[in-house]
Amino acid sequence: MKEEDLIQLRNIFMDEASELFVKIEKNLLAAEQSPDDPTLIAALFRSIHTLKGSSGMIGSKKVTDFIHNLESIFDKIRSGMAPLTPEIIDCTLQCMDHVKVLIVDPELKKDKDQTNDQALTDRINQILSGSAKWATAQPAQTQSAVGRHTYYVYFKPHAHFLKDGSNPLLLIEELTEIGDTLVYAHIDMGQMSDYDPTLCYTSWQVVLSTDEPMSNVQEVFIFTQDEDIKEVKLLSNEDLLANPRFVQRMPKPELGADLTQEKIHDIIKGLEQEVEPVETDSATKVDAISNIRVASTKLDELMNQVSELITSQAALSLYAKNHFDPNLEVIADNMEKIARQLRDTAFDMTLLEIDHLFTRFHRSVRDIATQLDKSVHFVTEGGDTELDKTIIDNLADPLMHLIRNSLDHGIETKSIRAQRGKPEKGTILLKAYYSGAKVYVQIKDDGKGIDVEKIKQKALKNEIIKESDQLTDKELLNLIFVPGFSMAKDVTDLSGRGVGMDVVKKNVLDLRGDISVESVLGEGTTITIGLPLTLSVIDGLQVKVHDTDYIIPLGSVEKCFELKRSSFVNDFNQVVSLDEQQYPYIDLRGEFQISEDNAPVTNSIILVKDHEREVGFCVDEIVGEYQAVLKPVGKYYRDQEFVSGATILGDGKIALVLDTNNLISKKHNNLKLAAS
Amino acid sequence: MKTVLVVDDSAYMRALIKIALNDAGYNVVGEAEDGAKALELARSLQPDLITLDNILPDMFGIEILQQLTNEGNAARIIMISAVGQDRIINKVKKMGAYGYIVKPFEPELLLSVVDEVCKSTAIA
Repeated sequence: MKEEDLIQLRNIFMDEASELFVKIEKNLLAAEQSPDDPTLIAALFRSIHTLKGSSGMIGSKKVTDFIHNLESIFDKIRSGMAPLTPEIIDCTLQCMDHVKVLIVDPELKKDKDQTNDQALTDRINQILSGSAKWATAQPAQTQSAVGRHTYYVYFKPHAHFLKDGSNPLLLIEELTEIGDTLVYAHIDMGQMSDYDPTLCYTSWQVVLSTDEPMSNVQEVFIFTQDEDIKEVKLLSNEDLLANPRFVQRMPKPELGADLTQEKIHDIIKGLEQEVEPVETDSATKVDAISNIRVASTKLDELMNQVSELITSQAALSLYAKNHFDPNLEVIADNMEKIARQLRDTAFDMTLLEIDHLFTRFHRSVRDIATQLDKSVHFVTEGGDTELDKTIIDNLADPLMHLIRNSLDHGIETKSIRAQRGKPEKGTILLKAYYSGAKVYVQIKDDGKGIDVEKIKQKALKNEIIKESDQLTDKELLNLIFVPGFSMAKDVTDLSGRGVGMDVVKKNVLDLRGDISVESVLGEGTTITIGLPLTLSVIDGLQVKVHDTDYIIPLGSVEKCFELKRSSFVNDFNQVVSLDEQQYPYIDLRGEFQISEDNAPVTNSIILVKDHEREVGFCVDEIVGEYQAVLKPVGKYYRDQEFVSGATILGDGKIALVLDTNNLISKKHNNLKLAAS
Repeated sequence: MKTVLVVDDSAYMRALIKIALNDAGYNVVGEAEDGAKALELARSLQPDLITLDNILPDMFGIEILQQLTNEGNAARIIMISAVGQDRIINKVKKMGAYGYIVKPFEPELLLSVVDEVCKSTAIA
């Protein structure tokens, strides 16, 4: 086989293996909650089997042998000869970690791996040898309802049934006593004028699930007469009423419900044709992503090219606009539309479900909680929220840090929780959701919360704030993100490794995101990270100050106004009135120290919002919306806080993208300084 | 050129078999990762050969073998499985498989089995 083929094969193998690891881990953790779910166990067995098969082919006998024993355990579990115990789940998780090592380094060059290999092999063998006992101790788990059948019963008493004192309801009641039932009653009366109160117009349809044989069901009607129509038919050899899908699809058992025998059979047939539905949700969700495999470098390339295309298209649009050629303008318009669509499609491809990230944490939380001897219920929500894969990659570390913090400093030990009247098991919720053009990721714990007073003391001690500073609780809380501020009173093995919250904040800011913290002492802490959907292109508002263009991210723009410059620029309070409300404003001319000489008479004020404050940005004029392809700025600008990047305009000029959040914070701090 | 359908739930195994067979002058015309797709492709492509993994997400390879044999599909089926007991191998061969390969295997073994299966009585 050719060298390049071998390399390609190895890559395919690695991709597949890492996908299988994720799948196995995910199913193991799901199985921890529901160890009897046969679909999970089947999926686990299959994944492990596939992993064994392919790793054998890549040439490592050691890996194959190792997985083989693991596979045997799951084969036993699958065939009902053994239960899936927490011990097995735990062991399998560790085995997967070891297999990851084995694949890369089959010789196990490190001593640590050697001992680990031996320990795990012993552990597997122990489980396997113990499994002989299970087979007898725990008989095969057969279906819950042995011999339970489902019947269709139809009963239409003859019209004079009531006259001899018989009560048809007693018969129906008798049916409900021998099993589970769904009862449908029908009244077939015809014209009201023909109504005779002494006659019986009612008939019943009953779906009955019971252990009794059919003869016993028929016996219920033994004392009825030949004129009464009664029918008992076998619908299924299974307990249909135990199947929620069946019950759901049956009409509601109310008077006059539209039900025929055919209809029931159709429903049953429908159920049989369906693939087991349980498998389609959590267990196989991961599969859907593997629809097509594209190297991520290719995606990056595509994104780059799309960015270039947008820049060129902007040049074309500008050229068309200046040349007053209607034909050219139509083409340019079309191009613009297509480029926009292409951009959206390309973005869509680089989006990944955040679930990929969440799955990893399940495992870590489990391990860390065990290590700290804390009991934690880790819940994730919104795993199907999509984010740019670059963002997801860069989010892993800060999120892990925050989760670790919650586990280490947030959630109290079991005994303390019990003392405080909290459930012994703490909860950490990791949640992702969309809001506007942003994705929010939230980590919420029900631990002890952050003591604002302690922060204040510490900040004073570290000379981050002065005694005279008047800070709100919220501002005090935000001090945890200041460099050099570490909350951990006792540095444990887990946190306090020198990476503080300031690094978390920096990581988030680098992704053009923001981070905020809320905490109630004794009740818990919530940390919210807001992130842009994507990193490379933003919708912006192109503005002019003097002869230079700037871009303001459209996502944070609230509203635009026009005002006479003279009406506000000399205002002592540095506020503008917009829509009868007063806002502080940032005059970009003043900010960039451009002389007042050629200032326009009328200024545009753009109301921009960061996560809590609204500030007016005063510019010379608004040019229009612009799709800005973000480029990093050169080293002379790198230390500037007011720009987050640069973009190339249609005419080839460069426009700086303003970091409005930073400008607003700066303004805010200045205002406070002025006030004190 | 003999046409081949490769059935395996592992992308890696499919790629490996495909490369090995294509290099040896066979024409891999289709790949299936599950039983449903395998049946569909076996019917539409009418390949000369099928390499069939036994454990698939939706059914067992043996079931596919049985179904295709019953339908009178002309493809010669080579089972690929990690199970190597003689009893099972013989049973599968009795069910109509032309060849049986135990995983893990060297690509050379695959080729020799495939060649043998093709020769056993010439496929037109």
